[in-house]
Amino acid sequence: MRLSETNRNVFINCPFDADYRACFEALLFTVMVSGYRVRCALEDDDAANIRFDKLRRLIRESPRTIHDLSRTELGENELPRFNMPFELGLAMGAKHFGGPKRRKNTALIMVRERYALPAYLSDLGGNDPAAHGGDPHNIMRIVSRYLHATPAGRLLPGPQSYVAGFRKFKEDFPGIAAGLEWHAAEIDPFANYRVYLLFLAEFVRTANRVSAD
Amino acid sequence: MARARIRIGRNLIAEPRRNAQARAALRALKRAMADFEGVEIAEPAVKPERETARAIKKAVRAFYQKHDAVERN
Repeated sequence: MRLSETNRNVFINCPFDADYRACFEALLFTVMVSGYRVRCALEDDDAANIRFDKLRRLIRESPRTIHDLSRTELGENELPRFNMPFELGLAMGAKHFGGPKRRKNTALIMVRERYALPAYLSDLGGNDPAAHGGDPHNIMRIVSRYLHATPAGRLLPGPQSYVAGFRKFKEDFPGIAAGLEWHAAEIDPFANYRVYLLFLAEFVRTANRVSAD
Repeated sequence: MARARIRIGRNLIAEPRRNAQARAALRALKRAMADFEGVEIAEPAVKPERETARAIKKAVRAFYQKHDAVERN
């Protein structure tokens, strides 16, 4: 069964900081190359929009959600970061109270270490989060297993194919960016999310086109 | 005129090397992404300005496609 454009949406709830950059890039690559559409709070940079409304809209439009709770830890101000668990709560609320259509919504919960979650979120004790250990390759393995099939219903390739494709993108990206007189480091997936995503989409499209030739 | 001629000459010398690099990049791309052949890519949710989208598309294609010295001059 082919999924509609809306049903391709995958909402990503993860930390937006420099230490998470490699993991975030792996996440974006995996979702996109599998044929799904990344939805993320960074896509709307209009400061006039209220953040909560933005999150509500993204979750409402996404039947699949990916939540990385690996950095729910104390920040410089000695306070924990609650954004990721909060957005997971919103997604779970949508699934359970959002009506029949959203009851089919699914969620992937990722953590850094498998047994740490109950210590800070014991309400999720019955859920089975996937531990990635901060390794982008593990993230590709976990996310591709969660998506498991393309929106058209075809089985997705194994994790090694994702690793090879991602490595190629990382290898070629500086050369591609140089064509626009940009330094690859300037196209930060957080600070310059929209441009980064367009580069990635065009890379995947080009790969698809040349494979078909 | 003379400067343009020198530029064309230089490009004709550099061109085979650049084309070979582009061909090699294209071959490696095909190899690395072969398992995703046929996966239909969803349009990104971000809406770029037309000029930005065009420039990015051009940059990616240029990286993998052969260069044409005379046309560029």
